[in-house]
Amino acid sequence: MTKMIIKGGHVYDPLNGVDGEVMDIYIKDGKIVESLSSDEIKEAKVLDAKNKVVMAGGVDAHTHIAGPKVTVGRVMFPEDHYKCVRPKTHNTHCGTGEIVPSTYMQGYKYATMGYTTTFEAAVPPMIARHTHEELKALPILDKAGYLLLGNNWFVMKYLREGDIEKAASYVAWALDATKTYGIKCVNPAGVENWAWGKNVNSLDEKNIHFDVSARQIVDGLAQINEMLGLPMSIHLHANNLGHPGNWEITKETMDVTKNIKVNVKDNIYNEVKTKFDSRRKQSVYMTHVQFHSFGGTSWKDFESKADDVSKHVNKSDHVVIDSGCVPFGKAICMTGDGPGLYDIATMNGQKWTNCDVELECGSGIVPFTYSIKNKVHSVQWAIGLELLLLVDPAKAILTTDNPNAGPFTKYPKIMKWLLSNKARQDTMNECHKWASERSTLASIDKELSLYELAQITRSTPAIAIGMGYRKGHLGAGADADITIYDITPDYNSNDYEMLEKVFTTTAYTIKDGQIVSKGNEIVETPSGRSFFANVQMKEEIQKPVMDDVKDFFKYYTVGFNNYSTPDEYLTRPTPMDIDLK
Amino acid sequence: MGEIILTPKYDDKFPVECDMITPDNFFGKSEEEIKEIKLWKSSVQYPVSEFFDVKGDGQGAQSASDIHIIIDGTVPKMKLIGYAMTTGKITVNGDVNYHVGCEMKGGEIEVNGNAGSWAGREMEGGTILIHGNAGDHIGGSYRGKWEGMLGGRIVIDGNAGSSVGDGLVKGTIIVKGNVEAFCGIRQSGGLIYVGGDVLRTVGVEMKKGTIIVEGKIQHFSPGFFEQNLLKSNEVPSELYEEILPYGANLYSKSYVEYKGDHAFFNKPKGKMYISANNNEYLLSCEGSVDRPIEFKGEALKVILNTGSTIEQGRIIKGGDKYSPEYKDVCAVCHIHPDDYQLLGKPEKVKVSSPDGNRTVVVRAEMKDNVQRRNIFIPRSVWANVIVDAQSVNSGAPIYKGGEVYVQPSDDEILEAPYIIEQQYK
Repeated sequence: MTKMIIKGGHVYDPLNGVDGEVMDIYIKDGKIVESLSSDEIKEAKVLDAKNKVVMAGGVDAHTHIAGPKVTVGRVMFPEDHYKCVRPKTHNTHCGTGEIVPSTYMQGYKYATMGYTTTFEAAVPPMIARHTHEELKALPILDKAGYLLLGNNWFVMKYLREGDIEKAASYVAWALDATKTYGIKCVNPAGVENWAWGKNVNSLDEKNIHFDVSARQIVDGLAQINEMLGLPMSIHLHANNLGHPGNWEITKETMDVTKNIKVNVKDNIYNEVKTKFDSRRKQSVYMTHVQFHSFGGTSWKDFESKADDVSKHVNKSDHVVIDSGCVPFGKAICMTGDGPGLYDIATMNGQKWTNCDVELECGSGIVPFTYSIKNKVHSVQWAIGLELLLLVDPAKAILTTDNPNAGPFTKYPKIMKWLLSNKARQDTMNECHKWASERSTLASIDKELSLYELAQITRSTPAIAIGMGYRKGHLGAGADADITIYDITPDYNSNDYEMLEKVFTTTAYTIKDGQIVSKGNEIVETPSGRSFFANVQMKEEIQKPVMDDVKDFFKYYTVGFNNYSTPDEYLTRPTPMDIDLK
Repeated sequence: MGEIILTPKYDDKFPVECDMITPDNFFGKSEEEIKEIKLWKSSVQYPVSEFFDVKGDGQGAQSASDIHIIIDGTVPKMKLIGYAMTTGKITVNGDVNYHVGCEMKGGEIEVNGNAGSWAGREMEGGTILIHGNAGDHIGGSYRGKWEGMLGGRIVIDGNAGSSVGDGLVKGTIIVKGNVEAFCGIRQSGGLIYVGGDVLRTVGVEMKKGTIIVEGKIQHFSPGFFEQNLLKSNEVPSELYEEILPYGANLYSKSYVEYKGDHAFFNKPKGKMYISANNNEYLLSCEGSVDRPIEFKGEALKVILNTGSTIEQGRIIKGGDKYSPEYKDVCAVCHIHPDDYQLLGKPEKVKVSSPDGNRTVVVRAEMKDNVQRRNIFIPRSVWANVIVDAQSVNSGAPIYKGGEVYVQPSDDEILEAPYIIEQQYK
């Protein structure tokens, strides 16, 4: 197999404490190794990275790139597609779309941006098959999906009955049946209420019929998560998304899982050692916190509470967040939070669609434009950046909640604003004045270093999703997913247009030891791995739950045998084996 | 200076995408280079010389604004002429296909013939003059997009189709002839002038901007509230300034000013100035006026409304559309007592489309819950025979409000399977 030496680049590898030192990276058989033998060095391909920056491949821990809602987003937004066309080449497919590109195009765009691992953040159990069909066509990237369980009837029923073991058993079966990776929880208790045209607005409000509260669901799922020892913590989209004044419930929600002990399977981490611990430490991963850091009581006295939320995150060791930054321009809001998106749709009068996924979960989709002149949007832009600047980079992850706050192709813009104070000031001058008046952004003159950038885009997301041993670092044993940016550590941060350009197109992106993109050109299009959790439960616990589940199938439009996603839907299936027998 | 003459020699049925035919693209190119510019036909690219004889070059001109492209002949299969052009002039001596001057930013296009749909779609500046008729979505938006024209001016001497200026944000559209449905739908600014008649749904979902209608509006939109009755010299002068230079004028003596669309917005700022002389019915305060009695031979002209009845729903719940019971409740025509008298209290009536090509015989029933000169037939096999398939851009046939003729008849009422067999195949 392939051997490669990446020579003389400035390496940023936070997990191994490497901060811009010039060193060589050795690759053998798709993995990073300490060194190569002299014979191997002779036959190795040498890639000159002199005056360039070398980082691990980017990890997007929260994106929406596959599944029914993404497809509906494409259908609803034809104007996004006829204006943005990518022609076919000898080794790539054609594609269209800017905000929600077609599947192939997403893979190419992520790769040219230096991202090699992407996790789809909301898979409805019943339509997991559709999600995998799309992920199968996604080139280059390693991928996985999080299963929507926050308003699942079985989970809620067992939690109400206080039978957490049964709930855990159901979750184990559901993850296996849908070939997904972790637990996603969207507007716990609220989406179920949406079936009755209602929502929940606090942590302790019980929902209709099931009589469980958001607190019970979050706490229950987090306990189940650690009982099973899943690689990732629960992935939580809290209640009251996008409502002014929701920062308080956000902080409260973070505290729910405070005392839950994290249970990480040690064996894999013992094989691949990094200088700093790469085990997951959090018991809750709060998503798109930008949408959850709104102060005020209405849009009139709306303000940023990002500084309070950031302080809270910094003192809570059991929390990791992703930002959900707003880069301005067109976006499509698509989430499992049906009631949340109904609120947005009534507010902006745009196209709207809503779906109830047969008793399991729901979703809503609304195209949205974040305008630089809009008061609220300007503050939202500021909140996203405040979070990433104020929260410890070991607890913060850069995302736009693609494509909810903006498409992933705008990550370079966010990086530009984080790395350059001048870029922020210049944009703030263009923005509505609320951006500076109603947030603390104007008073922050911090500029992230490349090391910190590598943290929020590589090591922190990799650790948070339980991939710290193989992704997000460049130590021996890691997957040889590598990004080489055409920039030197002594860059001028005032030249922010250059920064944006550099992060938009890498010099090289390497996936499993193979160059996949060189500048804008896609060189190779290998298939990525499909990660999923494979939990084996004890027969005596599993059996009664399966009886319940099978009985329930009389209400579904899908038969039990057709419900599960078979292995042939996955490219390079890579189970995360957990044996609880 | 900088005149380039393209003489068409293309006579095939496939459309050709002429988005490269713009002054910006031709500027600085020699005759040979212009001949080599590639145009898409189907999925293959061909040089300009495949479709046109080229005379002249773009090298003599000082700038692209001096370039004048003359397409000397009719090109009914050529799309996208002048796509996104910023300056210069294009003249077409004949018809053009879809998307002429779409997304253009400046310059001028003159079409001495008819233009297809989407002329000036999403344009931002410049002028398009069409001396013939034009299709649908003039100055509008393409599929899915909600904002249409952003600036510039379109002048059409003839008629235009449906959805003129859909989503108009800014700019002026002047149609001297008639327009069909949904003129100015979702308009949020700018001006639309219609010199002729309007079919229906003018200005619906309008938020801001102005529409002037000189002729008659056949069906007025419900979400507009009357504000004032203005003499023609009381209409804001800036509207005159917009249209006078392009051969249009406010010809009526007085205009009714409307505000809307209240059906969609709480505080809409959309304004319509409707000729009062040609739309006197709008000023009548007596509520709805009966339609006039109009006979064609024995047949009375009426408005057909269809819809499902509760009784009908009950019967087909069992799944049988072929039962005698179903025929009994569906093959029936409800007629106002006065009309029933006029028709001579018939037992059965023949309902026919205006052109007389489609007819259906149903039982006549006197009901006072329909208006005069209106009839109701349950939406079913029988009604569907005469429902007009024309959708007028709404995506559905005219199930309600279509014109038909009704006359007494002694013919047999046909069975559903027979109609399906005979009429729909």
